[in-house]
Amino acid sequence: METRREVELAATVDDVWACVTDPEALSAWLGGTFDVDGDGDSLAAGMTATFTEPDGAVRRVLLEDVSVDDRTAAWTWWTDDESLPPSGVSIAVEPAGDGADGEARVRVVVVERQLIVAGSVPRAMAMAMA
Amino acid sequence: MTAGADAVFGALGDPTRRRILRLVSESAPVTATVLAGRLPISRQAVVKHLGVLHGAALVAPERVGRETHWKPTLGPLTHVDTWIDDVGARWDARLERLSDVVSERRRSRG
Repeated sequence: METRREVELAATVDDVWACVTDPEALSAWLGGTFDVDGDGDSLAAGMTATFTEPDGAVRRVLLEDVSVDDRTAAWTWWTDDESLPPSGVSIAVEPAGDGADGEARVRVVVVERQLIVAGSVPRAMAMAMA
Repeated sequence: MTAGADAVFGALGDPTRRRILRLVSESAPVTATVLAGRLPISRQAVVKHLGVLHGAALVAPERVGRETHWKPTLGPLTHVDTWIDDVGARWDARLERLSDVVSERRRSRG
């Protein structure tokens, strides 16, 4: 089970990619607080993080892939309150040519895919996060 | 009884194990032999990965005759039907905000 969304923006690929990898910008548009564990002012593969939703729900985040070359990022996240099953998110930032106004356009593609197809959070995950 | 967060992170940190976890949850109960048939790795490697997932209490074995069947350990059911709508709506809102953040950054830079 997965859902896919995409949007086109008038911007450069670098500008949008910076908004994906900078925790502060990421917090602003994800709508919450994205806290990277340990040091680091930019997302990198192998990092863990905590994402706090505006309603207080806390997601644990495992960064699996952050590729500057491909401008793709992927993570797995899950809530500690079992409200959402663990799922994998992948984000791709790609050039989409020039708009009618001659300005560069960028396509952002997001796919979120459920990891546990049965639609349940493994009890161990919830307990580990409790 | 409690699997530590490290065990869960460690278990999910490997792409093959995430794939195995997904396969187990899709086709449970399932044997290591069946899983190996659907993956480009040996049965022995599958068993090893299942061991790690089991150590993090993400999957559980069940003896059926001479076979070991695997299934995911499930917590309370969530509303599967609404998952796609809910997650999609969240991303719609987020991508709208991304558009705002990007234009704001462009403006502030002049």
